[in-house]
Amino acid sequence: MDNIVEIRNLTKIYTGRKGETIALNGVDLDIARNEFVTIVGPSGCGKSTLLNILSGLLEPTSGTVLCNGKPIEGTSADRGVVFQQYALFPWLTVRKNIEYGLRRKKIEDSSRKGWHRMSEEDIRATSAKYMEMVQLQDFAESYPKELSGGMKQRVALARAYAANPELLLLDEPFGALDAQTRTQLQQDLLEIWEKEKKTCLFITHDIEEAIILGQRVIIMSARPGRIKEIVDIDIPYPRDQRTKMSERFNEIKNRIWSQVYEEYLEDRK
Amino acid sequence: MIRKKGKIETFVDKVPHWALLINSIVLFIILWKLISMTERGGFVFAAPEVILKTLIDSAKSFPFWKHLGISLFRVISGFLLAFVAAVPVAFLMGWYKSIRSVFEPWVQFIRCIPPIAYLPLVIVAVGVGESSKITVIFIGSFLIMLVTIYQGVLNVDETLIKAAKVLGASDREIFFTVIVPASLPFIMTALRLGLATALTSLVAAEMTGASDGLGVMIQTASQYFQMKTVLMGILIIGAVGMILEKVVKLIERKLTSWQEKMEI
Ligand SMILES: Nc1ncnc2c1ncn2[C@@H]1O[C@H](COP(=O)(O)OP(=O)(O)O)[C@@H](O)[C@H]1O
Ligand SMILES: [Mg+2]
Repeated sequence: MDNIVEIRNLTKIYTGRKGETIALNGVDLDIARNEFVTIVGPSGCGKSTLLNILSGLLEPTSGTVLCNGKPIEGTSADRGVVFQQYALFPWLTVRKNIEYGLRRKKIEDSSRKGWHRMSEEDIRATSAKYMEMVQLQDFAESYPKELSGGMKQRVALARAYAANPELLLLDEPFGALDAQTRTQLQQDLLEIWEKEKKTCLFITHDIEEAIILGQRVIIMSARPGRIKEIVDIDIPYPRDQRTKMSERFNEIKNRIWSQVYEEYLEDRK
Repeated sequence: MIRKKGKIETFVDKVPHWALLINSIVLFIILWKLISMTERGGFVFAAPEVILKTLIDSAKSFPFWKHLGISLFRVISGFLLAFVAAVPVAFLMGWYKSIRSVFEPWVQFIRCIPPIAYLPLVIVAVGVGESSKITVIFIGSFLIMLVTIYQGVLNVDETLIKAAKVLGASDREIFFTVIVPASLPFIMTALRLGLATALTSLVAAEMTGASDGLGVMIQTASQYFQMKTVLMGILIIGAVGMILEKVVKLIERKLTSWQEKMEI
Protein backbone atom coordinates (compact mmCIF):
# COMPACT_ATOMS: atom_id res chain seq x y z
CA MET A 1 0.00 0.00 0.00
CA ASP A 2 1.41 3.38 -1.02
CA ASN A 3 0.65 5.69 1.87
CA ILE A 4 1.38 9.36 1.44
CA VAL A 5 0.55 10.19 5.05
CA GLU A 6 1.34 8.10 8.11
CA ILE A 7 0.33 9.38 11.52
CA ARG A 8 1.30 7.47 14.65
CA ASN A 9 0.23 8.25 18.19
CA LEU A 10 -0.12 11.94 17.44
CA THR A 11 -0.84 14.18 20.41
CA LYS A 12 -1.23 17.92 20.44
CA ILE A 13 -1.52 19.90 23.65
CA TYR A 14 -2.05 23.65 23.65
CA THR A 15 -0.74 25.53 26.65
CA GLY A 16 -2.62 28.75 27.15
CA ARG A 17 -3.45 31.07 30.00
CA LYS A 18 -6.35 28.83 30.99
CA GLY A 19 -4.10 25.83 31.33
CA GLU A 20 -3.62 22.96 28.96
CA THR A 21 -5.99 21.83 26.23
CA ILE A 22 -5.54 18.36 24.84
CA ALA A 23 -6.65 18.87 21.25
CA LEU A 24 -5.49 15.51 19.86
CA ASN A 25 -4.83 12.43 21.91
CA GLY A 26 -3.13 9.45 20.30
CA VAL A 27 -4.29 9.72 16.72
CA ASP A 28 -3.26 7.00 14.23
CA LEU A 29 -4.12 7.45 10.59
CA ASP A 30 -2.83 6.40 7.18
CA ILE A 31 -3.89 8.11 3.99
CA ALA A 32 -3.27 6.42 0.65
CA ARG A 33 -1.97 8.34 -2.34
CA ASN A 34 -4.77 9.98 -4.34
CA GLU A 35 -7.30 9.05 -1.72
CA PHE A 36 -10.16 11.37 -0.80
CA VAL A 37 -10.66 11.31 2.96
CA THR A 38 -13.20 13.38 4.84
CA ILE A 39 -13.32 14.12 8.56
CA VAL A 40 -16.44 14.85 10.59
CA GLY A 41 -16.73 15.52 14.29
CA PRO A 42 -18.15 17.96 16.79
CA SER A 43 -16.77 21.47 16.87
CA GLY A 44 -13.60 21.71 18.96
CA CYS A 45 -12.63 18.05 18.58
CA GLY A 46 -9.30 18.90 16.96
CA LYS A 47 -10.05 18.65 13.24
CA SER A 48 -8.34 21.92 12.36
CA THR A 49 -5.47 21.06 14.67
CA LEU A 50 -4.88 17.82 12.77
CA LEU A 51 -5.00 19.61 9.45
CA ASN A 52 -2.67 22.38 10.60
CA ILE A 53 -0.14 19.82 11.75
CA LEU A 54 -0.25 18.16 8.34
CA SER A 55 0.18 21.51 6.58
CA GLY A 56 3.20 22.28 8.75
CA LEU A 57 1.63 25.39 10.28
CA LEU A 58 1.59 23.68 13.70
CA GLU A 59 4.03 21.32 15.38
CA PRO A 60 2.88 18.15 17.12
CA THR A 61 3.47 17.78 20.85
CA SER A 62 4.41 14.13 20.42
CA GLY A 63 4.02 11.28 17.98
CA THR A 64 5.18 10.96 14.40
CA VAL A 65 3.66 12.49 11.31
CA LEU A 66 5.24 11.33 8.08
CA CYS A 67 4.57 12.62 4.59
CA ASN A 68 6.18 10.46 1.90
CA GLY A 69 8.04 8.72 4.70
CA LYS A 70 9.67 11.94 5.91
CA PRO A 71 8.74 13.95 9.02
CA ILE A 72 6.93 17.19 8.24
CA GLU A 73 9.11 20.22 8.86
CA GLY A 74 7.30 23.51 8.34
CA THR A 75 5.08 24.40 5.43
CA SER A 76 5.72 23.35 1.87
CA ALA A 77 4.09 23.96 -1.47
CA ASP A 78 3.75 20.16 -1.67
CA ARG A 79 0.95 20.41 0.88
CA GLY A 80 -1.73 22.88 -0.19
CA VAL A 81 -4.46 24.30 2.01
CA VAL A 82 -7.92 25.69 1.27
CA PHE A 83 -9.18 27.78 4.18
CA GLN A 84 -12.77 28.39 5.19
CA GLN A 85 -12.21 32.16 5.07
CA TYR A 86 -11.03 31.92 1.42
CA ALA A 87 -7.78 33.76 2.30
CA LEU A 88 -7.49 35.33 -1.15
CA PHE A 89 -5.09 38.25 -1.46
CA PRO A 90 -7.50 41.18 -1.89
CA TRP A 91 -4.90 43.28 -3.75
CA LEU A 92 -4.39 40.64 -6.44
CA THR A 93 -6.73 39.85 -9.29
CA VAL A 94 -8.19 36.36 -9.69
CA ARG A 95 -5.45 35.48 -12.15
CA LYS A 96 -2.65 36.85 -9.96
CA ASN A 97 -4.05 35.02 -6.94
CA ILE A 98 -3.95 31.74 -8.85
CA GLU A 99 -0.45 32.53 -10.09
CA TYR A 100 0.85 33.34 -6.59
CA GLY A 101 2.07 29.82 -5.87
CA LEU A 102 3.37 29.35 -9.41
CA ARG A 103 5.56 32.45 -9.13
CA ARG A 104 7.17 31.11 -5.97
CA LYS A 105 7.73 27.64 -7.36
CA LYS A 106 11.29 26.36 -7.58
CA ILE A 107 11.85 23.82 -10.30
CA GLU A 108 14.73 21.38 -9.97
CA ASP A 109 17.21 22.00 -12.71
CA SER A 110 18.94 18.74 -13.60
CA SER A 111 21.25 20.21 -16.23
CA ARG A 112 22.60 23.06 -14.10
CA LYS A 113 22.46 21.62 -10.57
CA GLY A 114 20.08 24.03 -8.92
CA TRP A 115 16.69 25.42 -9.58
CA HIS A 116 14.87 27.92 -11.75
CA ARG A 117 11.52 29.66 -11.80
CA MET A 118 8.61 28.84 -14.07
CA SER A 119 8.61 30.81 -17.31
CA GLU A 120 6.03 33.56 -17.77
CA GLU A 121 4.31 31.60 -20.56
CA ASP A 122 4.05 28.50 -18.40
CA ILE A 123 2.64 30.54 -15.52
CA ARG A 124 0.05 32.12 -17.82
CA ALA A 125 -0.91 28.81 -19.38
CA THR A 126 -1.26 27.11 -16.00
CA SER A 127 -3.38 29.86 -14.47
CA ALA A 128 -5.58 29.89 -17.58
CA LYS A 129 -6.08 26.15 -17.31
CA TYR A 130 -7.18 26.28 -13.68
CA MET A 131 -9.35 29.34 -14.17
CA GLU A 132 -11.15 27.39 -16.84
CA MET A 133 -11.43 24.41 -14.54
CA VAL A 134 -13.38 26.46 -12.02
CA GLN A 135 -15.16 28.42 -14.77
CA LEU A 136 -13.79 31.78 -13.81
CA GLN A 137 -11.95 32.69 -17.02
CA ASP A 138 -14.26 35.70 -17.47
CA PHE A 139 -13.22 37.03 -14.07
CA ALA A 140 -9.46 36.75 -14.58
CA GLU A 141 -8.88 40.47 -14.04
CA SER A 142 -11.48 40.95 -11.29
CA TYR A 143 -10.53 41.59 -7.69
CA PRO A 144 -11.83 39.31 -4.90
CA LYS A 145 -14.16 42.02 -3.61
CA GLU A 146 -16.07 41.78 -6.88
CA LEU A 147 -16.79 38.06 -6.42
CA SER A 148 -19.46 36.13 -4.51
CA GLY A 149 -18.48 33.75 -1.70
CA GLY A 150 -18.80 30.70 -3.94
CA MET A 151 -16.64 32.29 -6.63
CA LYS A 152 -14.02 33.27 -4.06
CA GLN A 153 -13.80 29.70 -2.82
CA ARG A 154 -13.48 28.47 -6.41
CA VAL A 155 -10.52 30.82 -6.84
CA ALA A 156 -9.00 29.46 -3.64
CA LEU A 157 -9.51 25.92 -4.93
CA ALA A 158 -7.91 26.79 -8.26
CA ARG A 159 -5.02 28.53 -6.48
CA ALA A 160 -4.34 25.48 -4.33
CA TYR A 161 -4.70 23.06 -7.25
CA ALA A 162 -2.52 25.13 -9.60
CA ALA A 163 0.43 24.93 -7.20
CA ASN A 164 0.22 21.18 -7.82
CA PRO A 165 0.55 19.91 -4.24
CA GLU A 166 0.71 16.20 -3.50
CA LEU A 167 -1.65 16.61 -0.59
CA LEU A 168 -4.59 18.99 -0.52
CA LEU A 169 -5.93 19.95 2.89
CA LEU A 170 -9.37 21.57 3.04
CA ASP A 171 -10.66 22.96 6.34
CA GLU A 172 -14.44 23.35 6.13
CA PRO A 173 -14.00 25.10 2.79
CA PHE A 174 -17.71 25.31 2.04
CA GLY A 175 -18.81 26.00 5.60
CA ALA A 176 -19.58 29.67 5.02
CA LEU A 177 -21.60 29.14 1.84
CA ASP A 178 -25.35 28.83 1.39
CA ALA A 179 -26.77 25.36 0.74
CA GLN A 180 -27.17 25.76 -3.01
CA THR A 181 -23.70 27.18 -3.61
CA ARG A 182 -22.27 24.50 -1.37
CA THR A 183 -23.90 21.76 -3.45
CA GLN A 184 -22.52 23.34 -6.61
CA LEU A 185 -19.02 23.46 -5.17
CA GLN A 186 -19.18 19.85 -4.02
CA GLN A 187 -19.98 18.96 -7.60
CA ASP A 188 -17.12 21.10 -8.91
CA LEU A 189 -14.66 19.56 -6.47
CA LEU A 190 -15.76 16.03 -7.40
CA GLU A 191 -15.25 16.78 -11.07
CA ILE A 192 -11.88 18.41 -10.51
CA TRP A 193 -10.69 15.52 -8.36
CA GLU A 194 -11.77 12.93 -10.93
CA LYS A 195 -10.06 14.87 -13.69
CA GLU A 196 -6.87 15.38 -11.73
CA LYS A 197 -6.50 12.99 -8.81
CA LYS A 198 -4.87 14.31 -5.67
CA THR A 199 -4.77 13.17 -2.10
CA CYS A 200 -7.46 15.21 -0.38
CA LEU A 201 -8.16 15.57 3.32
CA PHE A 202 -11.44 17.41 3.66
CA ILE A 203 -12.88 18.61 6.98
CA THR A 204 -16.58 19.31 7.30
CA HIS A 205 -19.32 19.29 9.87
CA ASP A 206 -21.87 18.32 7.20
CA ILE A 207 -22.28 14.54 7.16
CA GLU A 208 -23.86 14.46 3.68
CA GLU A 209 -20.93 16.44 2.34
CA ALA A 210 -18.48 14.04 3.98
CA ILE A 211 -20.17 11.03 2.36
CA ILE A 212 -20.72 12.46 -1.11
CA LEU A 213 -17.06 13.46 -1.42
CA GLY A 214 -15.04 10.90 0.47
CA GLN A 215 -13.85 7.37 -0.06
CA ARG A 216 -13.51 7.16 3.69
CA VAL A 217 -15.19 9.20 6.40
CA ILE A 218 -13.27 9.63 9.62
CA ILE A 219 -15.45 10.28 12.65
CA MET A 220 -13.65 12.08 15.44
CA SER A 221 -14.74 12.06 19.05
CA ALA A 222 -15.06 15.07 21.29
CA ARG A 223 -12.37 16.15 23.73
CA PRO A 224 -9.79 14.83 23.83
CA GLY A 225 -9.72 14.46 20.05
CA ARG A 226 -9.44 10.88 18.89
CA ILE A 227 -10.53 8.91 15.89
CA LYS A 228 -13.77 7.20 16.87
CA GLU A 229 -14.46 5.25 13.70
CA ILE A 230 -13.52 5.11 10.04
CA VAL A 231 -16.31 4.35 7.59
CA ASP A 232 -15.56 3.15 4.06
CA ILE A 233 -17.91 4.70 1.53
CA ASP A 234 -18.43 1.99 -1.05
CA ILE A 235 -20.37 4.16 -3.46
CA PRO A 236 -18.68 4.28 -6.86
CA TYR A 237 -17.64 7.51 -8.54
CA PRO A 238 -18.69 9.50 -10.49
CA ARG A 239 -21.03 10.69 -7.79
CA ASP A 240 -23.44 13.55 -8.07
CA GLN A 241 -26.29 15.03 -6.10
CA ARG A 242 -28.63 12.18 -7.09
CA THR A 243 -26.34 9.90 -5.16
CA LYS A 244 -27.74 11.54 -2.03
CA MET A 245 -31.12 9.96 -2.77
CA SER A 246 -29.83 6.43 -3.07
CA GLU A 247 -30.60 3.84 -0.42
CA ARG A 248 -26.96 3.04 0.24
CA PHE A 249 -26.14 6.70 0.83
CA ASN A 250 -28.88 7.03 3.42
CA GLU A 251 -27.90 3.84 5.17
CA ILE A 252 -24.38 5.15 5.60
CA LYS A 253 -25.65 8.56 6.56
CA ASN A 254 -27.81 7.13 9.35
CA ARG A 255 -24.95 5.08 10.65
CA ILE A 256 -22.57 8.04 10.76
CA TRP A 257 -25.27 10.28 12.14
CA SER A 258 -25.92 8.02 15.12
CA GLN A 259 -22.18 7.96 15.85
CA VAL A 260 -21.88 11.72 15.64
CA TYR A 261 -24.99 12.14 17.75
CA GLU A 262 -23.45 9.97 20.44
CA GLU A 263 -20.48 12.31 20.43
CA TYR A 264 -22.76 15.27 20.63
CA LEU A 265 -24.50 13.85 23.71
CA GLU A 266 -21.12 13.02 25.19
CA ASP A 267 -19.98 16.57 24.61
CA ARG A 268 -23.05 18.03 26.35
CA LYS A 269 -22.41 16.16 29.59
CA MET B 1 -24.99 49.00 5.33
CA ILE B 2 -28.67 49.34 4.79
CA ARG B 3 -30.36 52.11 6.61
CA LYS B 4 -33.80 53.48 6.05
CA LYS B 5 -33.63 56.96 4.65
CA GLY B 6 -36.04 59.84 5.36
CA LYS B 7 -37.78 61.89 2.68
CA ILE B 8 -35.39 64.80 2.86
CA GLU B 9 -32.42 62.47 2.75
CA THR B 10 -33.75 60.76 -0.36
CA PHE B 11 -34.21 64.16 -1.99
CA VAL B 12 -30.72 65.32 -1.05
CA ASP B 13 -29.26 62.06 -2.40
CA LYS B 14 -30.58 62.93 -5.85
CA VAL B 15 -28.89 66.34 -5.98
CA PRO B 16 -25.46 66.04 -7.65
CA HIS B 17 -22.43 66.40 -5.41
CA TRP B 18 -21.15 69.57 -7.08
CA ALA B 19 -24.50 71.32 -6.63
CA LEU B 20 -24.46 70.56 -2.91
CA LEU B 21 -20.90 71.79 -2.71
CA ILE B 22 -21.73 75.10 -4.40
CA ASN B 23 -24.74 75.47 -2.13
CA SER B 24 -22.63 74.89 0.92
CA ILE B 25 -19.98 77.39 -0.19
CA VAL B 26 -22.58 80.07 -0.99
CA LEU B 27 -24.28 79.53 2.38
CA PHE B 28 -20.95 79.75 4.16
CA ILE B 29 -20.05 83.02 2.44
CA ILE B 30 -23.46 84.52 3.25
CA LEU B 31 -23.07 83.54 6.90
CA TRP B 32 -19.57 84.94 6.96
CA LYS B 33 -20.81 88.20 5.41
CA LEU B 34 -23.62 88.45 7.98
CA ILE B 35 -21.23 87.95 10.88
CA SER B 36 -18.83 90.51 9.45
CA MET B 37 -21.66 93.08 9.41
CA THR B 38 -22.26 92.82 13.17
CA GLU B 39 -20.20 95.05 15.44
CA ARG B 40 -18.21 92.44 17.35
CA GLY B 41 -18.13 89.95 14.54
CA GLY B 42 -16.84 92.58 12.12
CA PHE B 43 -13.98 93.28 14.47
CA VAL B 44 -12.75 89.66 14.21
CA PHE B 45 -13.95 88.59 10.79
CA ALA B 46 -13.34 90.95 7.93
CA ALA B 47 -15.94 90.72 5.14
CA PRO B 48 -15.35 88.11 2.40
CA GLU B 49 -14.74 90.75 -0.28
CA VAL B 50 -12.18 92.46 1.95
CA ILE B 51 -10.33 89.18 2.38
CA LEU B 52 -10.45 88.61 -1.36
CA LYS B 53 -9.02 92.06 -1.98
CA THR B 54 -6.31 91.47 0.65
CA LEU B 55 -5.46 88.22 -1.07
CA ILE B 56 -5.22 89.86 -4.50
CA ASP B 57 -3.09 92.70 -3.13
CA SER B 58 -0.83 90.29 -1.26
CA ALA B 59 -0.44 88.09 -4.29
CA LYS B 60 1.21 91.02 -6.01
CA SER B 61 3.77 91.46 -3.23
CA PHE B 62 7.00 89.54 -2.80
CA PRO B 63 6.85 88.97 1.01
CA PHE B 64 3.58 87.09 0.71
CA TRP B 65 5.03 84.53 -1.70
CA LYS B 66 8.14 84.27 0.41
CA HIS B 67 6.04 83.44 3.49
CA LEU B 68 3.96 80.90 1.61
CA GLY B 69 6.95 79.38 -0.16
CA ILE B 70 9.07 78.92 2.95
CA SER B 71 6.14 77.39 4.83
CA LEU B 72 5.43 74.95 2.03
CA PHE B 73 9.10 74.05 1.89
CA ARG B 74 9.21 73.36 5.64
CA VAL B 75 6.03 71.37 5.82
CA ILE B 76 6.71 69.25 2.76
CA SER B 77 10.36 68.51 3.55
CA GLY B 78 9.68 67.75 7.22
CA PHE B 79 6.75 65.57 6.28
CA LEU B 80 8.55 63.67 3.52
CA LEU B 81 11.61 63.04 5.69
CA ALA B 82 9.29 61.78 8.43
CA PHE B 83 7.51 59.47 6.02
CA VAL B 84 10.71 58.04 4.59
CA ALA B 85 11.95 57.35 8.13
CA ALA B 86 8.63 56.09 9.53
CA VAL B 87 8.00 53.38 6.93
CA PRO B 88 11.06 51.19 7.57
CA VAL B 89 10.98 51.70 11.35
CA ALA B 90 7.26 50.85 11.44
CA PHE B 91 7.82 47.64 9.49
CA LEU B 92 10.69 46.67 11.77
CA MET B 93 8.52 47.32 14.81
CA GLY B 94 5.64 45.37 13.34
CA TRP B 95 7.77 42.45 12.21
CA TYR B 96 10.13 42.03 15.20
CA LYS B 97 8.55 41.78 18.61
CA SER B 98 11.78 42.67 20.41
CA ILE B 99 12.18 45.95 18.52
CA ARG B 100 8.55 46.76 19.26
CA SER B 101 8.93 46.11 22.98
CA VAL B 102 11.93 48.43 23.20
CA PHE B 103 10.54 51.35 21.19
CA GLU B 104 6.80 51.31 21.72
CA PRO B 105 6.60 52.91 25.21
CA TRP B 106 8.89 55.77 24.15
CA VAL B 107 7.02 56.36 20.94
CA GLN B 108 3.72 56.52 22.79
CA PHE B 109 5.18 58.80 25.44
CA ILE B 110 6.71 61.36 23.11
CA ARG B 111 3.68 61.27 20.86
CA CYS B 112 1.54 62.63 23.67
CA ILE B 113 3.68 65.77 24.06
CA PRO B 114 2.50 68.76 21.98
CA PRO B 115 5.26 70.03 19.64
CA ILE B 116 5.28 73.49 21.25
CA ALA B 117 6.39 71.93 24.53
CA TYR B 118 9.62 70.48 23.16
CA LEU B 119 10.27 73.27 20.66
CA PRO B 120 12.65 75.13 23.03
CA LEU B 121 14.73 71.99 23.40
CA VAL B 122 14.87 71.56 19.64
CA ILE B 123 15.93 75.18 19.16
CA VAL B 124 18.74 74.80 21.68
CA ALA B 125 19.78 71.55 20.06
CA VAL B 126 19.79 72.52 16.38
CA GLY B 127 19.59 76.34 16.44
CA VAL B 128 16.86 78.75 15.39
CA GLY B 129 17.40 78.27 11.68
CA GLU B 130 15.50 76.19 9.18
CA SER B 131 16.51 72.93 10.82
CA SER B 132 14.62 73.61 14.06
CA LYS B 133 11.32 74.04 12.20
CA ILE B 134 11.86 71.00 10.04
CA THR B 135 12.90 68.97 13.07
CA VAL B 136 9.73 69.85 14.97
CA ILE B 137 7.57 68.98 11.97
CA PHE B 138 9.57 65.80 11.52
CA ILE B 139 9.16 64.60 15.12
CA GLY B 140 5.41 65.17 15.23
CA SER B 141 4.51 63.62 11.91
CA PHE B 142 7.11 60.84 12.20
CA LEU B 143 5.63 59.54 15.45
CA ILE B 144 2.01 59.58 14.33
CA MET B 145 2.88 57.89 11.03
CA LEU B 146 5.04 55.33 12.80
CA VAL B 147 2.26 54.33 15.18
CA THR B 148 -0.36 54.16 12.44
CA ILE B 149 1.72 52.09 10.06
CA TYR B 150 2.94 49.57 12.59
CA GLN B 151 -0.56 49.06 13.91
CA GLY B 152 -1.39 48.21 10.31
CA VAL B 153 1.50 45.75 10.09
CA LEU B 154 0.32 44.10 13.31
CA ASN B 155 -3.22 43.85 12.00
CA VAL B 156 -2.37 41.98 8.80
CA ASP B 157 -4.82 39.09 8.49
CA GLU B 158 -2.99 36.03 9.75
CA THR B 159 -4.76 33.65 7.36
CA LEU B 160 -3.22 35.58 4.46
CA ILE B 161 0.24 34.94 5.90
CA LYS B 162 -0.64 31.27 6.32
CA ALA B 163 -2.00 31.13 2.77
CA ALA B 164 1.26 32.57 1.45
CA LYS B 165 3.30 30.13 3.52
CA VAL B 166 1.50 27.05 2.26
CA LEU B 167 1.91 28.33 -1.30
CA GLY B 168 5.66 28.21 -0.78
CA ALA B 169 6.50 31.82 0.05
CA SER B 170 9.69 32.50 2.02
CA ASP B 171 9.74 34.97 4.93
CA ARG B 172 11.15 37.59 2.60
CA GLU B 173 8.45 36.95 0.04
CA ILE B 174 5.75 37.07 2.72
CA PHE B 175 7.08 40.45 3.78
CA PHE B 176 7.06 41.98 0.32
CA THR B 177 4.01 40.25 -1.16
CA VAL B 178 1.69 40.14 1.87
CA ILE B 179 2.75 42.44 4.72
CA VAL B 180 3.56 45.44 2.54
CA PRO B 181 0.42 45.43 0.35
CA ALA B 182 -1.82 44.56 3.29
CA SER B 183 -0.42 47.56 5.16
CA LEU B 184 -0.96 50.00 2.29
CA PRO B 185 -4.35 51.24 3.50
CA PHE B 186 -2.77 52.04 6.86
CA ILE B 187 0.12 53.81 5.14
CA MET B 188 -2.41 55.99 3.38
CA THR B 189 -4.15 56.81 6.67
CA ALA B 190 -0.72 57.52 8.14
CA LEU B 191 0.02 59.97 5.31
CA ARG B 192 -3.15 61.87 6.11
CA LEU B 193 -2.62 61.99 9.85
CA GLY B 194 1.03 62.87 9.35
CA LEU B 195 0.08 65.75 7.08
CA ALA B 196 -2.35 67.21 9.60
CA THR B 197 0.28 66.94 12.33
CA ALA B 198 2.92 68.49 10.08
CA LEU B 199 0.73 71.56 9.51
CA THR B 200 -0.01 71.92 13.23
CA SER B 201 3.68 71.67 14.08
CA LEU B 202 4.55 74.10 11.29
CA VAL B 203 2.36 76.87 12.66
CA ALA B 204 3.51 76.18 16.21
CA ALA B 205 7.15 76.35 15.15
CA GLU B 206 6.72 79.50 13.07
CA MET B 207 4.74 81.37 15.70
CA THR B 208 7.40 80.86 18.34
CA GLY B 209 10.54 82.12 16.78
CA ALA B 210 10.88 82.51 13.04
CA SER B 211 11.41 85.42 10.70
CA ASP B 212 9.26 84.24 7.83
CA GLY B 213 6.48 81.80 6.97
CA LEU B 214 2.71 81.89 7.17
CA GLY B 215 2.81 81.58 10.97
CA VAL B 216 4.98 84.70 11.18
CA MET B 217 2.72 86.52 8.74
CA ILE B 218 -0.27 85.79 10.99
CA GLN B 219 1.63 86.63 14.16
CA THR B 220 2.91 89.98 12.87
CA ALA B 221 -0.46 90.99 11.45
CA SER B 222 -2.17 90.23 14.74
CA GLN B 223 0.26 92.52 16.57
CA TYR B 224 -0.92 95.37 14.34
CA PHE B 225 -4.57 94.27 14.61
CA GLN B 226 -4.73 93.57 10.88
CA MET B 227 -7.39 90.94 11.32
CA LYS B 228 -7.97 90.64 7.59
CA THR B 229 -4.40 89.40 7.09
CA VAL B 230 -4.75 87.05 10.05
CA LEU B 231 -7.92 85.57 8.63
CA MET B 232 -6.41 85.31 5.16
CA GLY B 233 -3.39 83.46 6.59
CA ILE B 234 -5.62 81.01 8.43
CA LEU B 235 -7.67 80.34 5.30
CA ILE B 236 -4.51 79.77 3.26
CA ILE B 237 -3.22 77.22 5.78
CA GLY B 238 -6.59 75.46 5.57
CA ALA B 239 -6.42 75.51 1.78
CA VAL B 240 -2.85 74.15 1.74
CA GLY B 241 -3.95 71.32 4.04
CA MET B 242 -6.90 70.50 1.85
CA ILE B 243 -4.89 70.47 -1.38
CA LEU B 244 -2.23 68.18 0.13
CA GLU B 245 -4.99 65.93 1.47
CA LYS B 246 -6.50 65.73 -2.02
CA VAL B 247 -3.13 64.65 -3.40
CA VAL B 248 -2.98 61.85 -0.80
CA LYS B 249 -6.52 60.79 -1.69
CA LEU B 250 -5.59 60.61 -5.34
CA ILE B 251 -2.63 58.35 -4.56
CA GLU B 252 -4.83 56.29 -2.26
CA ARG B 253 -7.42 55.70 -4.96
CA LYS B 254 -4.67 54.53 -7.32
CA LEU B 255 -2.98 52.20 -4.84
CA THR B 256 -5.78 50.71 -2.77
CA SER B 257 -8.73 50.41 -5.14
CA TRP B 258 -8.80 46.67 -4.37
CA GLN B 259 -9.99 47.39 -0.85
CA GLU B 260 -13.51 46.49 0.19
CA LYS B 261 -15.17 49.72 1.22
CA MET B 262 -18.38 50.18 3.08
CA GLU B 263 -20.98 51.39 0.63
CA ILE B 264 -23.58 53.81 1.91
N1 LIG C 1 -4.06 28.20 19.48
C1 LIG C 1 -4.78 27.54 20.41
N2 LIG C 1 -4.51 27.71 21.72
C2 LIG C 1 -5.21 27.05 22.67
N3 LIG C 1 -6.20 26.20 22.41
C3 LIG C 1 -6.52 25.98 21.12
C4 LIG C 1 -5.84 26.64 20.05
N4 LIG C 1 -6.38 26.24 18.88
C5 LIG C 1 -7.35 25.37 19.20
N5 LIG C 1 -7.44 25.20 20.54
C6 LIG C 1 -8.36 24.30 21.26
O1 LIG C 1 -8.12 22.99 20.78
C7 LIG C 1 -9.33 22.30 20.58
C8 LIG C 1 -9.43 21.83 19.14
O2 LIG C 1 -9.52 22.95 18.28
P1 LIG C 1 -9.72 22.81 16.70
O3 LIG C 1 -8.67 21.92 16.17
O4 LIG C 1 -9.79 24.17 16.14
O5 LIG C 1 -11.15 22.09 16.62
P2 LIG C 1 -12.14 21.93 15.37
O6 LIG C 1 -11.47 22.41 14.16
O7 LIG C 1 -12.47 20.48 15.34
O8 LIG C 1 -13.36 22.73 15.70
C9 LIG C 1 -10.44 23.24 20.99
O9 LIG C 1 -10.85 22.93 22.29
C10 LIG C 1 -9.80 24.60 20.93
O10 LIG C 1 -10.37 25.44 21.87
MG1 LIG D 1 -11.96 23.98 12.78
